[in-house]
Amino acid sequence: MDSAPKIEDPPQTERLAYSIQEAADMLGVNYFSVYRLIQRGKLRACRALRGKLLVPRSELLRLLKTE
Amino acid sequence: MIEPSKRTDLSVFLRRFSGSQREAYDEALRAFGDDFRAVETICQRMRAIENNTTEDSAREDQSTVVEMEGRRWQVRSCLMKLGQSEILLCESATERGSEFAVAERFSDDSPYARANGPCELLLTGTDSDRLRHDYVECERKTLRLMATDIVTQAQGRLAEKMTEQKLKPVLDAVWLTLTNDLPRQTRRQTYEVDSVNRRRHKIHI
Repeated sequence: MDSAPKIEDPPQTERLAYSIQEAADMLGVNYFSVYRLIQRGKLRACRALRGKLLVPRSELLRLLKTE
Repeated sequence: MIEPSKRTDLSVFLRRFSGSQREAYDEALRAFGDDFRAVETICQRMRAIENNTTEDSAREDQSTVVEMEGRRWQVRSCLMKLGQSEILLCESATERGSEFAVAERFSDDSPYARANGPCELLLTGTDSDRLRHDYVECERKTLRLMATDIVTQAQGRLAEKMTEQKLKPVLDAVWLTLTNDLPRQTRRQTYEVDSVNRRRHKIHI
């Protein structure tokens, strides 16, 4: 009898971008500070399909100097 | 607590709403209540800074010295507290007299502070009154950016409930509620001004 096929966990893919609140949590700052960083041009944000601001993972890594 | 129906032009606006539009507006207020309160609190703080009534929080930091970009700055007052950070008005003596700075101080243990230092200069100048005014203007721009983002999120949440034509006045009312304490600007004006500023200052969104 064939053994049952193993069900593998789906590969953990890294998120490409995070919401403002998620970015604030990762940086350990208030979310208004994240908007301020965007307004000052220190943090590049992008827009999702419906226009919501998102922070690319690469930008967070750059700010945290872990690139 | 935000009571939009008590605000004159907003209440005129709301009277024109159908039942479903009023429900959608109320849903946005509920869903983004924390954001509305945050915007309102920061707006109140900006007014206090403009009116120079931030004395109470000044005393606690009078003797504190912070180091930013290789210089030592004496903390003169705390302009605003934001949970994980605070905005400080600082002073540094130079050969030509005093220089002032507005700086953000982060929690020492935050990942951002560990990577970039606990204090960050936002603005500098030799006239402290002018600097406070410029700081308030900068924060109002940030508040508009935040308000634009909240309206966009509200649009995403409400888009399936009604047509775009019916939704537009609801979103305009949400925008009006959020920016009621800011110098008046429509959503379109804010977008246009921001686009020009971003091109000028090479800010990428």
